[in-house]
Amino acid sequence: MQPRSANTITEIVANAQQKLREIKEVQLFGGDALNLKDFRQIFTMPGGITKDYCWRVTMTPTEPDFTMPIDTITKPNAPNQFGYMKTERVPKTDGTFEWLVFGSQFDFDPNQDTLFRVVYSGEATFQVTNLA
Amino acid sequence: MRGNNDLVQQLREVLQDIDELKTAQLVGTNQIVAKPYATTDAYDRQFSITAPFQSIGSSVKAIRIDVTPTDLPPGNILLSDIVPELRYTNGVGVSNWTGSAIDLNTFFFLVQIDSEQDAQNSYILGIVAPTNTVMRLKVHIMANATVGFSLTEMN
Repeated sequence: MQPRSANTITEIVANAQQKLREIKEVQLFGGDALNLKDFRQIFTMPGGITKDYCWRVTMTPTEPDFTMPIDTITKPNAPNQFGYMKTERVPKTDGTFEWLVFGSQFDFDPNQDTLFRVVYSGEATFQVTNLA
Repeated sequence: MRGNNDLVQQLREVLQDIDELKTAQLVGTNQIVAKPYATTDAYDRQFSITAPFQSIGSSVKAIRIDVTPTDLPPGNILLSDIVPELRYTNGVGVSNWTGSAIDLNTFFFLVQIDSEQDAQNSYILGIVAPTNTVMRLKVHIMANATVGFSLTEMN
């Protein structure tokens, strides 16, 4: 059997190194820690108007087998603001994740801003649609 | 000319890269695998809402949902995302949003509570509706392990 030349071995090792580097760069989760991402959106209910508001937030995984919401945070986006919007999870069967973000505003209220934040693993795109 | 030490060094670097990739991570062994779970049943629990709430004619129901993994390696953290699907017995879905306004008579909320156990996530599903309303609950779960769940009616 013909022995491999040194150059061939060097090339094989170099290729392996390159592939490993590529894996480490593009992998969704780092070697030592979990690499989470977040999506943030601020929803504003203008002051001086009595009205119910609702937005739909859709999260579409681009890596479905490795993508899931870890946590959802909804809170006032100002320290001196009491009211904020609430959320509801919407059952889906198409592999997407969906939230309704809704709230009531009254004409005697000032502007109310709500920070909506989803922490998730994997890869996903988000779409926000105003329903009312 | 390349010496033997160069090859050994290169192989060591390759091995180190592999080890870094395989180092135990915060969650799961190699990476998070998101596994969806739901029973094959049309719904998991049917219940009546009868416990008095804040006003006459309005009642509340609280259901505890415990999510437990079946194959999570010891020491790992269970991540779970659950979506409660509520329907009336005629199949119509229940939502806080009527389509044009917030429903003030029928609404529900989900909060995560301390499960007091490792590798278990627990939630309280609260539902307010007109007294004697009958609903059906189906639980949808996405988790980083194969899971099961149990339901406990708190009232």
